Amino acid sequence: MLAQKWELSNGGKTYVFHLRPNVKFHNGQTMTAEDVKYSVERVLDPKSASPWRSWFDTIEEIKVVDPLTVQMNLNAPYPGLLGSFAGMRASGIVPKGLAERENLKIKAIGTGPFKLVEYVPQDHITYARHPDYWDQPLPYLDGMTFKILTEETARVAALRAGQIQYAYVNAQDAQQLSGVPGIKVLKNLVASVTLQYINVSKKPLSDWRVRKALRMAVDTNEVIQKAVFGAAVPSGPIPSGYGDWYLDPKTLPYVKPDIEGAKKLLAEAGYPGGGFKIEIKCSPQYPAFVATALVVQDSVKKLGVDAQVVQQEWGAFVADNATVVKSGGKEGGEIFTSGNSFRPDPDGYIYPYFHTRGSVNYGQYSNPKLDPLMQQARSIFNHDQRRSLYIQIQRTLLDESPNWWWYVPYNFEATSTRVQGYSQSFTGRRFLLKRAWLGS
Amino acid sequence: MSRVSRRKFLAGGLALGGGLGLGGQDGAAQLLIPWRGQAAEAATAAQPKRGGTLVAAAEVDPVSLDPHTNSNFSAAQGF
Repeated sequence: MLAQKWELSNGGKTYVFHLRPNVKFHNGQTMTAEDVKYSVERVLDPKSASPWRSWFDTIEEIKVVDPLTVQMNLNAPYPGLLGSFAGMRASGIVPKGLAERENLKIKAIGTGPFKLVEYVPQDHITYARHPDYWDQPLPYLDGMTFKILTEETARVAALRAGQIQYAYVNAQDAQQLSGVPGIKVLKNLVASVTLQYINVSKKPLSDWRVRKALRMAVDTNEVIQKAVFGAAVPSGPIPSGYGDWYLDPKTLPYVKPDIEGAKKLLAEAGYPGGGFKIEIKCSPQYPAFVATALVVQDSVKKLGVDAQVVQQEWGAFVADNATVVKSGGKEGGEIFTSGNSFRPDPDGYIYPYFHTRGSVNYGQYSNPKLDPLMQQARSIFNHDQRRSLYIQIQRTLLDESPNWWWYVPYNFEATSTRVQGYSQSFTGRRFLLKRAWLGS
Repeated sequence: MSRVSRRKFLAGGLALGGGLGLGGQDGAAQLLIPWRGQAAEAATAAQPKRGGTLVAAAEVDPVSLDPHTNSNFSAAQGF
């Protein structure tokens, strides 16, 4: 942690962070409060168009008190702020002015255990041990080379051949690899919800009854079986297993399909017998997302709805998704199959996506009754009151279906038995590679 | 000035992953594949050894390494 301690005052609206002294960036520079101010302000700058702005948007002012002390004044209490800094996303602290000097698409300078040596797109990423890492004696490895192997079969073959020592694998291959000498397989549930963002700006998906009816036609367990070979748990908006903030999977609606109910609802919305087309985008970069889209396509046929599944290269998919936000829903697409990975606070799964002013409101959803509840839930510190609000908000979202939420997957990582000291994280991040070492 | 301790913060905000036991799923869908793999690695008694390079697979080619402006998961895999 780059902050050694912090104080909260002014009714939860003033944070003072005391930074760890003598933290070195990968370029040898010492991290100061100026760098923290620069990094956070970069996320907040509208010109950055950061998708993580909602994590920090309660920050009104950042003051450098001295080189190791930074004060943040908020416009409203935000209990999720500490989580935002622990979230391993927008909280990366970089040297002041870095973005103006370097192309951060391919360069990185931070304070983490490994420093970037080289990134060659479509080929490899090389890291070297950061000799001045603040949490000595970590890391143990001298370096890491990540070969970019987007094909599951290539990863598994490389593992079996001993060409690589670590890889993500799917549930089916995990099963196959679990008995192979020299390979061990790790498994855990991760805080990542597979879902579909729906652009609610245009007919017919602007009608919640249509969205809900289509969702009701799909068997969640069929999605789980076909997408991840059964290795997942049904989930609502906040991932199943996420503290006590999530909806009990036993109480989730629409886990089993209700075709007759769906037909009735579609008729009420003015679409008896369906008779319309929708387009679902996904990327073969993530086979589970494609499988999810195909199950939805097949299921809604039963309602007379023609769903076209469009597979895109990942970069194009991400760009189209962003276009929906930038164009206010006018362009980009209708339905996007993706996932919300780990968020450090329950607010991260809700406010940015569904509040009218949310920074990643991919579907352009807006509900004047829900907005104040989301605002309240992110502003109060009482756990039970917050939890009650998030349960209520999730129930409303499920009813209005601005997204279709499917499941939380198990994460399978296969390593050589030489890899020691590594453990998985519920975050789904592999940051604990900093504790890994190679045995004989 | 009230101080929020690290312990309190972790208990309140990041107490995650405890609600669903592996394989139990809290009564939800069962893991349909019988699992023969190893559980998460327990703390090893062996002394960590310094050195060596881990050769690993990245399953996604990052769209960008910029942590502030990129939302896709692949960007977060840099260290």
